[in-house]
Amino acid sequence: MQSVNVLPRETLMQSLPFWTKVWNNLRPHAAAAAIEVGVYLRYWTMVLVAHAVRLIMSAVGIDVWLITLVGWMENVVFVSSFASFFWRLMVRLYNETKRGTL
Amino acid sequence: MTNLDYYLTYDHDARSKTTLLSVAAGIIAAAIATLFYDSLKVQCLICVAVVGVVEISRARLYVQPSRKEMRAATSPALSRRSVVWLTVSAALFLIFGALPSIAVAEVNRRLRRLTAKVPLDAASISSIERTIAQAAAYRLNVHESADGVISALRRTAEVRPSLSGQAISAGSTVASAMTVNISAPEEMHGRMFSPLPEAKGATWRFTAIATNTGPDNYATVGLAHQPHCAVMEHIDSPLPIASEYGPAFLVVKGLTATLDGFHLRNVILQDMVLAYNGGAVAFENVYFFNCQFRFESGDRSWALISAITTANGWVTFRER
Repeated sequence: MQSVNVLPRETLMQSLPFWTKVWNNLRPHAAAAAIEVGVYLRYWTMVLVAHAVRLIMSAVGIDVWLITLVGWMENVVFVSSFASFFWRLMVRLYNETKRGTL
Repeated sequence: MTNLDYYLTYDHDARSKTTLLSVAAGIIAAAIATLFYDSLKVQCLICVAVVGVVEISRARLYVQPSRKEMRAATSPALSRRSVVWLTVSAALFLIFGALPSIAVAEVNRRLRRLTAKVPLDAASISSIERTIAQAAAYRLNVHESADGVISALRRTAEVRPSLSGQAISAGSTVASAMTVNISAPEEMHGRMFSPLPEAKGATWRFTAIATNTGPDNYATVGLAHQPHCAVMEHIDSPLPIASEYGPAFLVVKGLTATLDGFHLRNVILQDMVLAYNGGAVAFENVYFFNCQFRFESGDRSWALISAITTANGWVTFRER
C-alpha cells in the first residue's frame, strides 16, 4: 500500500522565515552585483598592473614616449571602466525607478 | 520580466561583454580625441560620453533570449569560479592599490642611498635630479627625504664650488617637485569675523609681480580683515593700507616672475616660473603650487629652497 504525503502549498510558503524570503528575493540581484563588481575589479587590477609595469619601465630607463603611452592607456582604461560602472549604475537606477521599487 | 530586468539581473555574460565593448569604445574615442584636443580632461569627457552611449544603447536594445535558449545557457547565478575570481581580483586590487606607497618608499630609499656619501659627485647629483623629476611626474610625495637631499646638495655646493651650479639646479628641481598641503594657513582657520563685514567701496592695492597679465592671471579669493589680508608689494615701497578689509588670498597663475624684493602675504603662485637671485624677500604664507624654480647659487637660495621643501604647504620666509 502506498501513501502520498499531500502538504498544501500555502503551508509550505508560510513556513519560510522572513529573512529567507528576503534573501530569496535579493539573491539574484546580490549575485549580479557581486559578479559585476568582480568584472570591474579585474579591469582596475589590470590598470594597476600596467602602472607597476610603467614604474619598472621608468626605473630601467626605457624611452619616455613608451612610458607616456602606457600612462595614457592607464588613464583612459581607468576612466572608461569607471564611466561604464557609473552608467550601469544609472541604468539600474532608472530601471528601479521605473518599476517603482526605489 | 522585462528585457532590462533580465539584462541587469541574470545575463552576466551580456553585461561583461558590454563592459568590454564600452572600455574598447572609450579607448578608441579618447585616441581619436587626442588628434583634436591636447587636454586630457577633454579626452576623458569624450570617453565618458561615448561609454555612456554604448551602455545606454545596449541596455535599451537588449532582447532577452527565448526560453529554449535560456534553458540551454542556464548556469548558477554565482558559480564557484566567479567567487574565486572575485576574491582574487579584490586581493590583487588591494595589493596593487598599495603601489603608490611602495613607490614612495622606493624613491625615498634611492634618495637616501644617493645622498649617503657627502659631498656628492656629478653623477649622483644627476641621478638625484632625475629621480626627483620622475617622482614629481608620478605625483609621488618625497617630502620625507627632501630635507636630507637639500642638506647634501647644499654641503656639496659649499665644498665643491665647481658643482654648485649643478647642485642648485637639482635643488630647484626638489623645490619644484614638492607636493603640498592644500588647507588654509593655521591663523586663518575658523571664523574670521564676529559680525558680517561691511566693506562698502573699500580699496585694496597690490604691485603686480609680473606684468604680462591676461584676464585670468590675477584673482582674489575670499575677504579678510587686516592684518590677514593678502599683500603683494615691493619691500622698499610698501603700499598704504586704504581699507581694513581686503581679499583673503591673491592667486597668480601661469606667469614668469622674479621673487627678489617682494613682500607677499597669503599669495598663491600657481604654474609659475619663478627666479630668485638672492635678494631681499618677505614671504608670509606663500603657497607654491606646481611652480618651476630658477635659483641663483648662494646661501640665500639654499635657505629659500629649504624653507619651501620643509614647509609642506604655506611658506613663511624672510631674507633682508
